[in-house]
Amino acid sequence: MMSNQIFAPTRFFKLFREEVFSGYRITLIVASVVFAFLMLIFTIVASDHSDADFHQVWYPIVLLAGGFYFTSTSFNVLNRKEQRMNYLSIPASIFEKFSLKLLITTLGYTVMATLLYWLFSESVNVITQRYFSFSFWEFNPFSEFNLFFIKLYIVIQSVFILGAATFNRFSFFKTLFALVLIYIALSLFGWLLFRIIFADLFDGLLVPRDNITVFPSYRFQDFVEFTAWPLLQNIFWYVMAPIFWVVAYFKLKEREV
Amino acid sequence: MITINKLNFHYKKKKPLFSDLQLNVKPGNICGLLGKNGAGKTTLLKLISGLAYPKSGTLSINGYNPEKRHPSFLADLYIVPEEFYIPSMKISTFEKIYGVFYPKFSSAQFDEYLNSFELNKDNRLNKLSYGQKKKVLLSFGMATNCNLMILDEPTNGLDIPSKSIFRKLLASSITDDKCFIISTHQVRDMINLIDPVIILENGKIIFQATIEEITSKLHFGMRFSEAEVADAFYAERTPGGFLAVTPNISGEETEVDMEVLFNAVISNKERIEKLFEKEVHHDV
Repeated sequence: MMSNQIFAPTRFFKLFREEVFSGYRITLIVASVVFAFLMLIFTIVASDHSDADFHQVWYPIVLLAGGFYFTSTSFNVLNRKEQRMNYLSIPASIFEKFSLKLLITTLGYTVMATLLYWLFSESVNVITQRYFSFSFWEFNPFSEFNLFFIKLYIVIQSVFILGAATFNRFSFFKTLFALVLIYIALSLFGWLLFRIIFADLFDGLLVPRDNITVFPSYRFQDFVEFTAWPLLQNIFWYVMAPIFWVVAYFKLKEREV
Repeated sequence: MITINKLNFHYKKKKPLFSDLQLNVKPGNICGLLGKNGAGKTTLLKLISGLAYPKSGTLSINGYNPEKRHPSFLADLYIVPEEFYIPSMKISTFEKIYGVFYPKFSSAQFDEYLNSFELNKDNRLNKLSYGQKKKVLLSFGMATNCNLMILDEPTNGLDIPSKSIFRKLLASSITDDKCFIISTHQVRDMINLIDPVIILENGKIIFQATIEEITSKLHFGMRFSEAEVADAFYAERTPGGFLAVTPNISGEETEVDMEVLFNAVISNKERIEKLFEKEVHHDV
C-alpha cells in the first residue's frame, strides 16, 4: 500500500494528462514565438550569406537558455495561492508531481526542443534557398557537439529546477542571482584556501613570490591532474544533478498554502 | 473521521494561532465552522486538508496524517476554497481531466448537479462568472463522493435560487460515512443544514454543540420588553421587539437562528460555556 502512495503508473499518467491539458497552450505560443524569432534571425543571416554554420550558435542557445527558463517555470503553479492550493490538492504524490516535472523539463524538453529545432532547420533552408540561394549547414541532432550540450543542459537544469521549487515568482532570475552569489562565495573561499595552504608562495597578503613553480611538488601536480580534477568532473557530470533533484523534491514537499 | 490532538500552529513565532487545539468530528454530519475574520477558520481547514503543516500536535483524517499528502487521502478529500483557481477549459474537459483522480467520482451525478444549476458541460470555464465557476466546483466536489468535503464560504457569489439549490443538493449528498465541513459567514444560507456548530475565536474553539443540544439548552424567540431580555444571553432590537437567546427553561424547542447564536456565544462566552459545559468535550 505504501509504495502505491509514492508512485503508481496510472496516477502518473493521469497527472501527465492534466499537465498537458493545462499547459499546452502557453507552450505552443512560446514555441511559435521562438520559431518565428529564429526564422527572422536566420533569414537576416542568409540574406548576406554570412554564416552557414549558424546552428552551432543557436541550437545551444535554444536548448540551454530556453530550457533553463522553461525549467524555472515548472512550479509557477505555486506562485499564486489559489493555484498552489489546486496543485497541492491534486490526488497524486509529491514524488509523482516532482518526477513528472523533472521528466518534462529534462527528457521532454530536450526531445521536443531538438525535434522542433530540426524541423526549423529543414524549413528555414527551404526559404533561404528559394529567396537567397543560400543553405545553412545541415543540423545534426546527434553530432558530438550537440550531444555535449544536451548532456550539459540536463546537468545544469537541475539547478534551475531547484530554483523553481524554492523561489516564489521570477525563479529564473532569482536562480541566476543565487548562482552568481554562490560563484563569488566559492571563488573567495577557493582563493582563501589557496592562500592558507600555499602561504609560502606569497610575499605579503596578495603578492606572489618571484621565481616560484605553480605547484610545490610533482606529487601534488599529479594529484590535481589525475585525481582531483577528474573527481570534480565526475561530480559535476554524475553527482551534482541527482543531488539538486533530491533537494528540489524536498523543497517541493515542504511547500504550504 | 477528524481527530485533532494538541495542535499548535503559528504564522509568526510570537503570535500563536492555535495552542493545544483539540477537536473530534464524526462522519455523517455537515459541520458548520463559524468565527469572526481572522479567527483561524481557513487555517484550520488548510491544516485538515494537508495544505499547511502544524508546528506540533497530531491530526488524523480518515486515519491519514494530512501532512503526508498521501494520494489516497487526497482522493477522498475535496476542498472548495473561497478564492479558487479553475483552469481555462470546457467543463467536460475539466471532468475528464480531474474526475479520474477521484475513484468514487460519478459523471451522472455531476451532470445532475450541473443541470440543477442550469450549467452546460460545453461551457468554457473561463467564460463563466465567479458564481457559475463556483457552482461547477461545488457540483464537481459533490460528484467526487469524497468522504470529506471542505467548503470555505460556499455560498459567496451564488445567486438566491442557487443558494437554495445548493442547500438541497448538499443535504441529499450527505451519507453516514461522509463529512462536510462548511466555513461561512453567511449563516442564514445554512439554516437547517449545519449540525453540529463549531465556533472559533482567536484560534480557540469556544463553542461546539449539535443542534439538538442547542435547542434543548437555548430558546430563540421574540421578546417584547427590556425586562424580558434582562436574563438573555443575547438580544437584538427588531421592529417588533427583541430577538433574544435565553436559557430554555420551558423545554420548548425553537428554531436555531445561527446568526443570533453566534452573537450570543461571542458576547457571552463564559455563561454559554457554563451552560454547555457537560457538552463541551470537543467531540461532535
